[in-house]
Amino acid sequence: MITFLLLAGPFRLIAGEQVSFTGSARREVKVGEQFEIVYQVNAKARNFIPPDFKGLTVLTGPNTSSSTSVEIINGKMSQSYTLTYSFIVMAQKEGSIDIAPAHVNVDGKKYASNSLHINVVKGNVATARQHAQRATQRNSRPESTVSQQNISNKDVFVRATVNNKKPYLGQQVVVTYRIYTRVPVSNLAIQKVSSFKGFWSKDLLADNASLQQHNETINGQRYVVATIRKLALIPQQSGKLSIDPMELDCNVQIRIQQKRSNASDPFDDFFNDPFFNQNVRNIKKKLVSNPVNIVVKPLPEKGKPTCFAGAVGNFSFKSSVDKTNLSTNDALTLSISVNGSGNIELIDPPKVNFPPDFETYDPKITSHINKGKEGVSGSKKFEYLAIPRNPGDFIIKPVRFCFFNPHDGKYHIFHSDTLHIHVKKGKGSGGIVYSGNMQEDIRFLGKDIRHIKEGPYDFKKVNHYFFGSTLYIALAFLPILLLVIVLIVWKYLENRKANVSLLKNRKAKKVARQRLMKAQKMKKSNNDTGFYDEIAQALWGYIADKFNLPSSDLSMDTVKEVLAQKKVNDETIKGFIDTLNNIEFARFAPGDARGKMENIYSEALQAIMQAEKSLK
Amino acid sequence: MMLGMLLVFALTTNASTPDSLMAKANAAYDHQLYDSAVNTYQQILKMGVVSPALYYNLGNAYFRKKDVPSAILYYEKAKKLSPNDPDILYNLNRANTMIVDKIDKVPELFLKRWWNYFYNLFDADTWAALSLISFAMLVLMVGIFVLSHRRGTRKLSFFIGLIFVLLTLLSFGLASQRTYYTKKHSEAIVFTPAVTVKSSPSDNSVDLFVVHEGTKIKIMDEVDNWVKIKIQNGSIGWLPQSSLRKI
Repeated sequence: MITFLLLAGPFRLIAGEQVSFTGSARREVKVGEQFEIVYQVNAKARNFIPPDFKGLTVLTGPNTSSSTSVEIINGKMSQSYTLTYSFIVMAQKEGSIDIAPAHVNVDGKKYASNSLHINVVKGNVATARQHAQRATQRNSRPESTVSQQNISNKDVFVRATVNNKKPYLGQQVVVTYRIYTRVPVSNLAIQKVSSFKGFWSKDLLADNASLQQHNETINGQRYVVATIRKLALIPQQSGKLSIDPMELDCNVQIRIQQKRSNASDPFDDFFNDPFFNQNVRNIKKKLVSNPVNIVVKPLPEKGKPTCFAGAVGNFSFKSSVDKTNLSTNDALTLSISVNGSGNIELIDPPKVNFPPDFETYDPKITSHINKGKEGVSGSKKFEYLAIPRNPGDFIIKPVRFCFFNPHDGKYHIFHSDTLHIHVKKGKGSGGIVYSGNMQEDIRFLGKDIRHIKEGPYDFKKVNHYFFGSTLYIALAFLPILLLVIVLIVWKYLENRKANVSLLKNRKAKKVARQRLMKAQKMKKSNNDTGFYDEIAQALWGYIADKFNLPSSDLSMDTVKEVLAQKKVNDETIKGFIDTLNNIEFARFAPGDARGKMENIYSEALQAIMQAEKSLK
Repeated sequence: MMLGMLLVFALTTNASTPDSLMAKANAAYDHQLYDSAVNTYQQILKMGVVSPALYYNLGNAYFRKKDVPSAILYYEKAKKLSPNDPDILYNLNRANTMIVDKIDKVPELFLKRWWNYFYNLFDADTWAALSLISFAMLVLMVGIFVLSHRRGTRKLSFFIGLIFVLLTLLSFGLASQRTYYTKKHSEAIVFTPAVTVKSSPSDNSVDLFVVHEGTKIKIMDEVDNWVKIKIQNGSIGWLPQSSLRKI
């Protein structure tokens, strides 16, 4: 609760007037009833010493107020000044109470007031209790119907200020709500707070911190200023954002002009009752702060690194790993800590590229946040746990952390160092046993298209298709053509052969006769071998020609066969065969060569003629 | 044929042969100058020659330029010419994983799948050549059959001849089918980032579904500036011609 004393303006006693210092109170009050005791002095006074209010509970007091009034009567002006000290008291039990005089100093002289006597009568127990309850409440209910117009917005107001009206997106600003007042104010209650749409907000004042107050002079008026609320706001979107006004209710003590009436009016008396006719009133006043407009600048696109994930402020970055030599199934922890002021609470864990065969887990995040005058600051630590599954030497690529510093308007990139991790094979037992069915498919780290082809290119004319082309048709006809030619040639040859054989057939007898004649000549010239040859030849040749057989096919059986085929009678066949046989005999048998030759000759002739006859 | 073409080009242009341009484009690609590579590959195409390797490399260059629909278009063109090349198939697959639409293929009939297996063994020209060879063998068998006198030979030639009849019919059929398919441009790739397929060839008809760039569609019919398309899950609708590029 804010209270302060208004010092009365200096005033001097009108010359000639006597100092009067009087106290007044009701004569009769009920138990538990609140009533007023007022001391008035008509000059500037100091060192007011109240009496001992024995038997009474003092609810408020002394409340000081002063007033001056000017009277012009019959052209004569007179001013009067009254300084009032008032108390609101309550009697707890029945009886009569004596109140001793109060004392005050005027111009160095001490004056005493009159004493007071009050009768306390029985009141309703209920009402007494109610009064008692009300009395213990610090809030006195406004029972007046005095309009609030007496309190202007110059007397008390709430102002909201922002330390930066043009922040970058993500840059934190501090909004402070202060109350400025010239009158006593109590019971501040915040009714409505801005939703801070578009911002992330954090209260900067501790909950039970006492409000800091100071004095400020604005336009010649002295105000008491207190900070009632302070928040850090981080805009989450760019453009125009506005902070809605905050609404509060409070109780303000105001001074009311004292009514002075000469006439004694029952209603006046009622209204002039000391309890109601006090110089101060508590009235409820609604206070509304000014709305605040903020224009949020978007972060510059130029120079924005790919690793930027929204961190805005001023930060430092540290990274460390707890071990670089370990065995499989052992764990290592990579710690990354970010320190500084800005939207630290909104920073996401930086991306760490562990090698492919490491089992990784989501990082553990610990943060220490400080709420300061300038906003939110502190540190955030990310701990990444990783377990290698296979032995080998691995590299953890540098981790990048990028943020935007709104004070220099630039993006900053931090790199951690490249880490070389050596993993040796862990102990077999207790580790993972790889059996065949735990084999993994080759894990594709990336997929890409295959490379271009480098010749031979096999170019073809576009829209040129082999099928149905002239070449195709030509080639298709080619075999047929060939076949036809082959057939023709074949036929021709066959024909020729037939002709030849026909011819031979016809000439068979003639040829045979010619051969026989030749044989005769041979006989005449004693050429035995020649004779037999010619005779044999005549016979064999005859058959060959007649039946178009090649010489290789000639044999006794063949002769028999072909002659039988032609339905030559057996006798003729026998004759032929016999002749042939005889020729062989005659060749080698000794004896009458000539006679034999003669026989053979006639036999042959006979055979041929017989055959000819049969074959006609 | 290529020799003839080379001669022609050596006479007409100043030593700008498809092979030399190809080497130039490939070098540009290796140096990550993908725009230059694309331009040079396109120059070769303008010469009126095609090759599966050319289309494939061009597809790669577009892929590197992050132009996925063009990459898919050229991979499909390459696949048309060389259906069994594993590189083409792999890269086409990769490119297809990067497009927006995921379309479930309707499973094909067993017979159709069988037919397609043969269909994809060789390209059109190879099948045509095979058909000629088979036909020649058939004629040979006929000749032997007709001219031979020996029973054994005749029997053998008869049966072998029958086999070749079948082979000839098969290869002829496949050759004609493939040639027809390759000649005809019955498939296309969507090039508009997102386009609505309508129920009939007019802007006012009902919106059926949306397809995105890089999706392959089959062309069923063409009316005015509209094309009747069928996508791989069987859905049918109409698209404006300007949103497609034929394979």
